[in-house]
Amino acid sequence: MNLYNDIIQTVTNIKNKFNNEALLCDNIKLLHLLKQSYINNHINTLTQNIKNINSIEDKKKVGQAINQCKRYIIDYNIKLKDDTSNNEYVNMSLYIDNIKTGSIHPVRQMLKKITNICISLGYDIKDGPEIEKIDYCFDKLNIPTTHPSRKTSDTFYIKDSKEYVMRPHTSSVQIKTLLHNKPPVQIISTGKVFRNDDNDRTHNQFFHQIEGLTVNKTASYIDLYNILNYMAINIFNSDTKIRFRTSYFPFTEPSMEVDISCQICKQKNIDCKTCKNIGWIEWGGCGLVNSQVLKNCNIDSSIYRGFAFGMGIERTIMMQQNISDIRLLFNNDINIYQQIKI
Amino acid sequence: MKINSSWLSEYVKFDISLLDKLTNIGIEIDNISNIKIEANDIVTGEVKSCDYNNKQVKVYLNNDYINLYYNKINELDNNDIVAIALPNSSIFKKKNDKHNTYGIICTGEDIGLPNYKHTFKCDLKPNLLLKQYLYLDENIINFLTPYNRPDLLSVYGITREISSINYYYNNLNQLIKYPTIDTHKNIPHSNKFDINIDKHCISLLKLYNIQDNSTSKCTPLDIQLKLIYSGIKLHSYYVDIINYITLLYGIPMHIYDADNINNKSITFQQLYSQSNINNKFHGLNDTEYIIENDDFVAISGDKIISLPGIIGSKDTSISSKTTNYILECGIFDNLKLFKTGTRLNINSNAFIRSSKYIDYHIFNSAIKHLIQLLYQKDDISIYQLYEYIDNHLLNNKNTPIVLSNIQDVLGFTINNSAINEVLKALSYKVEFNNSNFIVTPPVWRKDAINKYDVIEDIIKFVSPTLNYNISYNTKYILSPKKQLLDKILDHLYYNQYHEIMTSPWHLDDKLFLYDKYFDNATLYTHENKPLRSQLLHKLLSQLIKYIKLGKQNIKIFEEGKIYNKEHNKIVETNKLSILIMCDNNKHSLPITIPTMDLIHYIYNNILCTPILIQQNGITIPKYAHPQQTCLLHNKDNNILGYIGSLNPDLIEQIKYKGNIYFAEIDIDKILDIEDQTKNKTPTISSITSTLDITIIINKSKDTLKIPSIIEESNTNIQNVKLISIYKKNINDYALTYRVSLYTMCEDKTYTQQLEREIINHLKTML
Repeated sequence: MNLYNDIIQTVTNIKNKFNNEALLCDNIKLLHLLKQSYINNHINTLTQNIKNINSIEDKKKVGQAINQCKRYIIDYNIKLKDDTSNNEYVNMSLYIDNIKTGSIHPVRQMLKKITNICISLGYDIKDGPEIEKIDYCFDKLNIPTTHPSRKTSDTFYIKDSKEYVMRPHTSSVQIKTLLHNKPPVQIISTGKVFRNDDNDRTHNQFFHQIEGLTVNKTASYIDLYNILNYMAINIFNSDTKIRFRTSYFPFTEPSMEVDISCQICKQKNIDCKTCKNIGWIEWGGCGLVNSQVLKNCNIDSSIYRGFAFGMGIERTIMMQQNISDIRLLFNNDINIYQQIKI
Repeated sequence: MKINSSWLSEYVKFDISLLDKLTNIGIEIDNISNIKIEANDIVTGEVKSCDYNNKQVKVYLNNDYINLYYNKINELDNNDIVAIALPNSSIFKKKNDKHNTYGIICTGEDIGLPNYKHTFKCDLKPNLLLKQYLYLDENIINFLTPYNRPDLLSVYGITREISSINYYYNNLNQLIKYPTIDTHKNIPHSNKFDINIDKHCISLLKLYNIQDNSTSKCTPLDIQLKLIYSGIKLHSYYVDIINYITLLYGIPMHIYDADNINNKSITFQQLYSQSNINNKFHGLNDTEYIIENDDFVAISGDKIISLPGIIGSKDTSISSKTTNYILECGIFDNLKLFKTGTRLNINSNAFIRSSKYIDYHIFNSAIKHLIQLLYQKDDISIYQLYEYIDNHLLNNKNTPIVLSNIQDVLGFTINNSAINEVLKALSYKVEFNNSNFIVTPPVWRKDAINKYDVIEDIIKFVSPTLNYNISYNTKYILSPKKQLLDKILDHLYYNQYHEIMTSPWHLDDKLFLYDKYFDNATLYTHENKPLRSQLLHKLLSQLIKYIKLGKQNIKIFEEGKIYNKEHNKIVETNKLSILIMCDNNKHSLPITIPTMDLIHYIYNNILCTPILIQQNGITIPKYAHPQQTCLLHNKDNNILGYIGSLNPDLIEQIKYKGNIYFAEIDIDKILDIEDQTKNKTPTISSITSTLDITIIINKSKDTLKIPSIIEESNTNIQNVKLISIYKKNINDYALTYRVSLYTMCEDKTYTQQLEREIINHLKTML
């Protein structure tokens, strides 16, 4: 019985003491700290003492008293509103979880991020139709008629139209820009592209691309390298490295594949399933614009040079967020979308 | 292309550590697999007789005859050399075959050869230990070669590249040398076959007649293994040898059963509409093809006997009984072959090579090598039937390229000796004249035609040392349209709408029941896939999934394109579709439509333009509620979209008990209105991207001051401009403010510093 009385008395004392100290608080932040201190140090200690009381009835009464006291301390906030008129800035980190929002699709988030990076590097943004002329998608890009990408098993052609395809890449926008603008040109084109693939872990019949193009008198290989290096650092993290591997694209010469250092194993190459212990993951393609493409767009290739780069948005998200299945990005699970913050 | 490492090592110094360098120079390694062959206590035995009824095989082994039971006895013939696992071998113990006590006849799979389920036969003598003749531990490398390097579609091609790496890095001048092959015996001409050709489609054609009466039929063991490792099915002696030569040199060949060629005549020509030829062609792959005019074919009588360079016909294919063969090797019009092969969807090994490029300079070596292999058989005679070589092919040489301004193109300094070293390693002929390099690519490099191609070869080996700081060169900003769209999407985000993304295809099978409420697709792909003509349709299919999952009160939206055909023109429209689920909330009046508030907010606060909402006398879409739907239009009567409830019948069919509200807005049109009415282009020229800061502020603060404070801050903190402020109640005394700003760049360090400065500034000023 003595222990019961002691605890009830202690609860009353704590409440009075808190009242006195809270009146001294002149801002919300201090009050918040005070509340935390009382709940952690005093209330929790009292709660632990309940188990030493033998009578179940007494245990119930003590529990109720402690809870009332705890609620009083938590609700003291509201009183402060009436009591104080001081103006205090509160750090967002205290309450940020309480804000309920919807979700923006990860692809749009990543597109916005890369677009912003490119804009800060002086790129303009250009859009184009998703159903595009074959001339802009293949012919002007120097893609030979024998190239496998022109096959119906790779590209969606529009029925009853010999002229149009569902664009397999956003390079068609670059061609149109070069045809209608005189150099210097520095643009990025973004959007949906379509490939006649089977949907699996790494392929989807539609995905998003971002492609950049610079045409001026001084464009060089090293500029291209540095821009992609800068993009990689800002999209992934400051430790990210890139490397170029020579490759072949009909619209660039020289052509390179861009790899980034593995974000998972950090190039330690120990049982890494993501990079298969190679330390590098393919990110996109790039190269100096093929002089034939410039000629196709009526640009004097003896005066102007250019470079171009392109990468898949979904692939970039998968690499950044360590997602192994592209279908996860298109199954519209809003719980997942809410968690992905690019 | 899969090649085993031992095969490469026959021609060039090779180890696995070179693969990383090969990847860097453009030959990607898809994967490496390791094969370990189990060959202890496995010996060769000769089949002497087969009792097909009792499945008993009499085998000569260890100077004795033993009888073995064998399930696949039909695969065996007398004199075949087979692999026998003796009782001590692990294969024998593992199989635990109760029928046999002396040993078991092995299949390829037993030994460990991938995808080789047949009896393992070879060309060895009996009583030999098999492990002495096999690669017991082998790495198989799958090379992915670039499209513009058909010269790499052969073992020789790959070894040439490896030798260039060896030369550059180790100074090992071990460039590939073709095997020294004795010229085959003088072949007498035979006029037994009448050959006619259309020279327009042929650069080179050689035909040989082979008379083979020999008894040995088995493909040499090392060739068998190489083909198995390369993933090529074993067939018969001749087919295997031809496949081997194709892999080794990249020169495709074809062999016919000469006795099955009618009239003893072959014509190589394009198919014409007037020619009385049966246009049905039965290919070696058991598929029937319809050949069209202009396709290049080989004809005998009125029958097509092959598509040269692509595939042969079933009728003239060789069998175990064939003794009279015709061998065809040629270089044909690759563009014509490509069109035919692509249309017929044939992807044979021959087609992959013939449709790209065949190196004329190693053509003769390949034929010599083949004939040398054939002459290893007994009782065989080979006669040359026909030969044609186009003069253009003989005179076709790579032209010299002048390398000027290399440093400008690369952007970094590279000394001449390094350039010289690289180009020599790649077999270029290099001259130096008037401070410029004049280089001639090797004959097999048809892809090297200008200085940029040569520069690509240089940077394969020489990389820059990077010491470069990026500079911001901000000239552009997001277009006003994009800024407005961003704002609308932001508003939806902060009001708990979820963005989803659906496929561009029109109908989902599961939605079939509800099709009558929506318009049909008007555009299709070549495979008859319909393209979506409405966005709301797709959005609803997603909402139904959420309803089935038991989700409640969800608000979703999608922004994307729909595709239609209007007056024979393809029209793409950007739509914003919104759906709101309201559980147990059936409103009766249109004024309570939740999407209405949303639209009002968008127009009043974001677009700052008047919007007219009309409910009466409008055409209602089938999916919409007849009474609770409104039309959005501007003062010029342009329709901007619809808002309202979904048709109650549709909601009932979905089996949803609450109400579903929708908005379908033509996003292009509303953004165009904005462009006309009010120019919202930000005025600061160097501003480029956005920065979002979320802060929490006591309600008692004068929050109206925030915009002016941010504007003022531009004098203290460079290049900042306020776009918008979103506010939201946290509780009774605090608000959260999300302040969107234009900033100079997206550089993390810069923006973090900027964010701190702005928060501090707000703290001080509020």
